[in-house]
Amino acid sequence: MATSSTKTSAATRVVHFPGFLPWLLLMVLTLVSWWLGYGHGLGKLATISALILAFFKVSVVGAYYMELRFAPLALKLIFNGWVVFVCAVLIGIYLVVH
Amino acid sequence: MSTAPPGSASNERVALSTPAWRTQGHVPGEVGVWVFILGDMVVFAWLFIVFMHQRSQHAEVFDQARRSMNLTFGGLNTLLLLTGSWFVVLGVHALRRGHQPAGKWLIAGAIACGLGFVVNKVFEYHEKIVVGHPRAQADFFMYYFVLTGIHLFHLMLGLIVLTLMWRVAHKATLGPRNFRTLEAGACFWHLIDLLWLILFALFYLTSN
Amino acid sequence: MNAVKASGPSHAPPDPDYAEETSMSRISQLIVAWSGPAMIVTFIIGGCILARYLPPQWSPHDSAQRVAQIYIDHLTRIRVGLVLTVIAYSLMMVWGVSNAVQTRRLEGKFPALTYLQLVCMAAGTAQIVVNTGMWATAAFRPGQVSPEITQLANDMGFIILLGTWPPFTVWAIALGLQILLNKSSLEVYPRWSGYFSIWSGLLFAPGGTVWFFKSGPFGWTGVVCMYVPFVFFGSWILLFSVLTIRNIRAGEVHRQELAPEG
Repeated sequence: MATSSTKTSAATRVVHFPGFLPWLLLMVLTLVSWWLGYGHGLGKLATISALILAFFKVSVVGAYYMELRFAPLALKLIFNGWVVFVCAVLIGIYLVVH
Repeated sequence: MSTAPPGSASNERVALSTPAWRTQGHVPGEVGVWVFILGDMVVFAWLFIVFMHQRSQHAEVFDQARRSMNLTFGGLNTLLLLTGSWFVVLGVHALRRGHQPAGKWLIAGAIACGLGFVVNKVFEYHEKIVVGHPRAQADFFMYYFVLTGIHLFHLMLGLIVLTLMWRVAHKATLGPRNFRTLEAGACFWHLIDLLWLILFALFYLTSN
Repeated sequence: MNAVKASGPSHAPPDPDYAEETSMSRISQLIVAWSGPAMIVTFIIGGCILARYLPPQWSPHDSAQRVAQIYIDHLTRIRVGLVLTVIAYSLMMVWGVSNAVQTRRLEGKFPALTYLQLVCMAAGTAQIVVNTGMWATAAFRPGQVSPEITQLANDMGFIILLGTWPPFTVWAIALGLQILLNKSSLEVYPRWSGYFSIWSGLLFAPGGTVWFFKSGPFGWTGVVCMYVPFVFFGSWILLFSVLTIRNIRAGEVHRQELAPEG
């Protein structure tokens, strides 16, 4: 355990927990996506944003949770290549018909 | 480790020798589990694309069906899985530092989140089946039930994997093979999490 | 070396290692391992080219009349194809033994996961052999009985073939688990093949959608329901045939190692 002084507040300790900031980011982005799900007159933009956010979140999960940050470049490329490719294809199909 | 982001391992006192997972080029878990994970991602990607393609051909009815979906169930499930995944990250980190009780409790916490997801899903499925849906929307719900069903199946397997990890966490000493198991299991759980992120967007958030 | 003399007393007991090394085990293991590729070839000729169940020439939403008519029009071809199909399916359990024998080397006196593989392959073979019999029943009197009866037998074939995926999934997972749980220094199969086996097993499960849907990607003409399980099943068979035959050729026939390493 880190030899932190007793004056360190609980909040500071939590912030230093591994993966806290990514978790916070993911939660916030989920709430944003959830909000986008109600449309709010944004039409197709809402859906496209929701999809991009979803895949961005996938990338964050990969990098910080699956620890791909420390993984060989090939694995990072394959994983993130999938993220970019699938996101692009889904948005492409979504837009083509309308 | 100057490239480490804030809030990560840089503030922690770690062992004198740099552990394997810190040096560039460590495959999380082992190569074999990535055969599985990437393969599953490819299969699911293809299912996502099939769904989106079908949706594009019947956009109106699919959108009507989507409007009958309960965003609260979906959003809640997403938050649950993300938190459960974070617990797994915390748990594995704790075990790396030898904090067994913390590790065990955190993995148990992740299992609880997973169970919460299952309960939520059961309620949601039940409601959908009882309320029913118009014949025209049958296709949407076919994809919904099959895709989220396959995901749920993966999640139940994930719960078994988490339980195995929890048992590993009880060992007196953890060797490299144990960490290989822990990392591989954690990656499988994160896969389940990330697949849900996309399912949430496709079935709950995609409108016209 | 210690050949037993035909007459007169022997001067030394027979060497058990010699007996084991020159036994028929190596040959018998090779024979069962090769039945994997043989199964695939026989199935392609019988099930795909002749009888045409894959890709299926009937759709779940075809009328009973159409189903019966196809049987009537191609009766002999279907019947001959079914004979080859049932032979191919029966070879499945023969092949399965080759993997069980190899992984048996990792378990001790009471090899639970090896037993599990054996019972699963037996159950699985019984299922698909019976479902071939259903199709053969449909092909027995088409035109002489009501088309609904022909359609029933035809439906039963597909529904049993794809819907009874659990023994196959359990089989593949048992094999995968044996590979991954191995703690000894003897690597019978590479670890990635253990993951591949578990993954394949999971991908047999979408066949279960056959009970619910009659069209689209999830009926028996659907890509997810029919082709995903079959493609992965075929790949799984080929992969493990290759790995097993490689093992046997390298002489890994009897060597057991149960002690965990280090």
